[in-house]
Amino acid sequence: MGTFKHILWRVLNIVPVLLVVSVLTFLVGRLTPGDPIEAQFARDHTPEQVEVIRASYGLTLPLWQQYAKWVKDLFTAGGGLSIAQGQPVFDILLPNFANTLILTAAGVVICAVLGVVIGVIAGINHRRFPDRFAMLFVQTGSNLSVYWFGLVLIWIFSLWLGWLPVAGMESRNGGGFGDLLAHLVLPGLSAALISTLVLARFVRLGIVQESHSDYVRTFASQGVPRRRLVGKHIGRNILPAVVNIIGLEIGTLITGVIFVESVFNWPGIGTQLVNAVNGKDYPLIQGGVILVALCYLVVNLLTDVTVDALNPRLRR
Amino acid sequence: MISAQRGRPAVIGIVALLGALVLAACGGANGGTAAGASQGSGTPKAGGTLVSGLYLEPLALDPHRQGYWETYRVSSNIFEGLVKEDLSDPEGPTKLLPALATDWKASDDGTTWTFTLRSGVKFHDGTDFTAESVHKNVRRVTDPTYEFYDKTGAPRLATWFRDFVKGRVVDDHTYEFRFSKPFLGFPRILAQSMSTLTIGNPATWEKYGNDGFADHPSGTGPYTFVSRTVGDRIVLKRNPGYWGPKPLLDELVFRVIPNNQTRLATLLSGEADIISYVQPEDVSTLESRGFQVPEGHGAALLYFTFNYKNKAFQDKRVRQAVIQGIDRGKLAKEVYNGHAVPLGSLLPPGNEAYDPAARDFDYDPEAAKALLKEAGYGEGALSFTIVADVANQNLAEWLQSQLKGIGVNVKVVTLDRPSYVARAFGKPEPDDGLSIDEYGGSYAEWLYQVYYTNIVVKGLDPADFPEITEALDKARYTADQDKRLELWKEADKKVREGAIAIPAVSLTRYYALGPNVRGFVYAATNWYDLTKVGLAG
Repeated sequence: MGTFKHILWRVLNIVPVLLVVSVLTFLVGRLTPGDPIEAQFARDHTPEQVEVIRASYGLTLPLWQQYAKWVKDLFTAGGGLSIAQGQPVFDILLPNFANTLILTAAGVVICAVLGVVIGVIAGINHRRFPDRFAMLFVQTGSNLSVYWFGLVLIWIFSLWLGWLPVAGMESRNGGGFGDLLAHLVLPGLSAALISTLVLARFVRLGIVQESHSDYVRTFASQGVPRRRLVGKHIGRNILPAVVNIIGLEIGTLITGVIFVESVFNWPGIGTQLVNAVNGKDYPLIQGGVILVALCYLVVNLLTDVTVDALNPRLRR
Repeated sequence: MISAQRGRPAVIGIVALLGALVLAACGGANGGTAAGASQGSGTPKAGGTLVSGLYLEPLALDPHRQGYWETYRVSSNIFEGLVKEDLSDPEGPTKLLPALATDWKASDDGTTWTFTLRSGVKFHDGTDFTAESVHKNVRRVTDPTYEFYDKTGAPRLATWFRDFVKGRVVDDHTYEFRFSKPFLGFPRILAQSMSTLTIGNPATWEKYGNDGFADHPSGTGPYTFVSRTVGDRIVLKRNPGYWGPKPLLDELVFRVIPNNQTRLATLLSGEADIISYVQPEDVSTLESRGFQVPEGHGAALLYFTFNYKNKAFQDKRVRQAVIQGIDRGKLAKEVYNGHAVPLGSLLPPGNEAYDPAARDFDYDPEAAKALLKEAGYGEGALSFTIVADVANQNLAEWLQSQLKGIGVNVKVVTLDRPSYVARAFGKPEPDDGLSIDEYGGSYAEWLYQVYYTNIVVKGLDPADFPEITEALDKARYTADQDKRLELWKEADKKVREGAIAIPAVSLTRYYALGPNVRGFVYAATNWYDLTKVGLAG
C-alpha cells in the first residue's frame, strides 16, 4: 500500500512540473526577438499586411489570453494549428514522436546490451589485454562527434558496401518489419554510441569495485565459482545502479537523437523541433516541449519505481 | 555532445587517421559505381515513381496560404493557376502559357481582365471547374462577407489585389476581374507561386473548412494528393482525369531531407532520383559519377539594403560610396567560388524586364573615399553594423574586409533567422547599416514589391524620392502594353540612380538527378515541371 501511495504521489507531482514547463516555454517563445509571422512574411509584405496576418492567428491578443487559448487547444484542438504547416500540432508531432521513441528504444537496447557486455568483459579482465583494448575503444568512441560518426557509418555501410539504407524509415517499395530494422541499424548505433560507452565504463568500475569487497573475497575463499560470483552476487549488487544509469541515459539518448535524426533523416520529433524553432512556430515548439518534458517525467518515474523494486534496501 | 577538446591528442590523431582512411577508401571504391550511365539521353518510359529530396519542409498545401518555392515545387503538381509560365524554357524570361484559362484580354483602359476558361476540366473529386469555382476562389481571399473568407490567406494576396474592385461570372466559362486602376502585369502575377490566386477546389473548403483544406488539398493539377507525413514525405499520384498531356510518372514522392550531406547520400545510394539545393562544392563529384546536375538562376538575386533610420544613409553620397566600395565581381568569385553572377540592378536575369546592360555604380574605391570625405566622413569616421542571417556570415565578413578598403569600419552581427528578420525588418539598432536578403521573381512588378517591402520598410520615406514613386506608379498603372516593360526599366534606372539599395549577385543553383531521369529542365524560374519527367527503362 505504501508503494502504491508513493507512486500516486509521484504521478501527481508531474502536474505542477508540466504547468511550470508550459508557462516557461510559452514565455521563452514570446519574450525573445522575432515572431513566426514576421519571419515568414516580412520579406514580401508591408508591415501593415504582416500585422493583419498576425492578428488572424490571434497573436495580437494579450499574452494571458494567448496562453489560455493554447492550454485549451492542448486539450480540445490537438495543440492548436501549426503556423507553418496549418495542421493540428499533435497530428504532426505524435507520429514523429512515436518514431523518436522507436529510435530511442533501439538505442536503449543497443546501449544496454553492448554497454553491459563491454563493461563485464573489461571488468572481469581488469588490467589485462581485453580490458585495455575495450578501454581504448571506449576512450576513442567517447571523443567522436555523433554527427561525424553517423556520416562515416553512412559512407561505409550505405554508399561503399551498399548493405544498409541511408535515410528515413522506409525503402522505395518498402514497408514491413525487416525493412524498418534495416533502417534502424545505423541510426540506432549512432544514437547509442555515447551512452553505451558511459554504461560500459560504469559496469566495469562496478565489477572492479565489488570484486574487492569483503563478501566477494569470502565467497571466493569458500570456492564459489567465478561465473556464479559475477553473475549472481556482483551482478545483483550493481544491477539497481545499472538500471539507474540506463534511465538517466535515456534522457541523454533523446537529446542525442536530434543529431542522429538529422544525419539519417529519421522522421522524428527532433527534426520537427529544429524546424519549429527555426520558423518560431509557437504552437509546434510548445507542443513539442510539453511532449518531451512529459516523456522525461515518465521515464524518470519508471526508473525510480524499477530501482525501488530491484533494490530491497530501498523498500520500506 | 562530448567535444574533442576533452580528448587526448594521441587519441584524436588515431581517430582522424582512421577517418581519413575510411573516407579515402569509400571515395575510391565509389568512383566507378555509376560510371557508364548516359547523360540524360534516351526516351523516358511511362510509369514508375520519382523520389524527390527536398531541402525544406514545405508549408501548408493550400493555394492561398502557401509560401516558399520548395512548397510550390510540390503543390504546383496539385493546384494550377489560370495562367502558367513556360517551364520548358531554360533561358527566360519565361513565356506565359494558357493553363485553366485558354485566353485573356484586358480592356482598353487596362482595368478589366476577361479570362476565357478551359472547358471540360474537373477537380480531383470530380466536380466541374467553372467560372463559379474561380469566383469562390476570388471571394475566399477578397470578400469578407463570403462564408469561407480566409482571413489568414487574404492579407497575403493584398500586394496584388489592393486595387481589386470586383470579380464577375460572365458565363460558365468566362470570368472578369475589375480593378480600380490599370494592371497589365496581372496575368504574369497569376502565374506565380505565392501571394497569388492559384485555384483550389471550393468543395474542399466547403466540406472541411478553411483550416482543414491543407489536410485534404485538392485542385485540378496533373497529380492528386495521397498523403503527407510532416517531417517525412508527401505522396502524390497521377490524376487519371487530367485535362492536359498525360504525365509520365505514376507517383511522385517528396521526401524532406534537410541535411545537405544526407540528401546527397540518398541520391548517391539511389534512394532519391532528384534533389534540390545541391551545394556547389558537390557538383563536380556528382558529375564525375554520372549524375546530371542542371544549373540555373531562377529569377532571384542577393541584395543588400540600407537602414534608412541610420542618419548616415540618408545621404546619397554615403550610399553611393558603399556601393562603389564593393567589388561584386570579386564577391562572386571569392564568396561563391564563381557560382554566382554579379549584378547592377534589382531586376535579376529571368525577370521580364531584365536588362544585362543595367549598371548602377561600378567598383571604384577612390571615388568612394572622395564621396565619403565630401559627405563629412574622413578615413575611419564612418562605422556601422551589418546584420545578417547566420547562413550569410561568410558574406558579411567578406563585406567587412571589403569596406575597410574605403575606410569604413564595419561590425558584423549574425542572428538566427527569426531574430534576423525581427531586427532587419522590424526594430534595427541605430548603428545598423546593411542587411542581406535573397528573393526575386520573373515579373517586372518585383521591383515595386522589393521597393515597398524591403526598402521603404527600412525607414526610407517615399516622399523624399518623388521621382522613384512616380516612375514605379507609372509602370505599375500603365494602360499601354507596348510601353510597360520600358517603363519598368525606367523605374529601375531611377532606383539605381538614387543608390537606393545594393543589388549584389544572382546565385547559381543546382538540382541533381539520378542517371536514369529524363526530361527535366531547369526553367528560368524557381520551380520545375515534373509532368514531362520520366525514368529510362
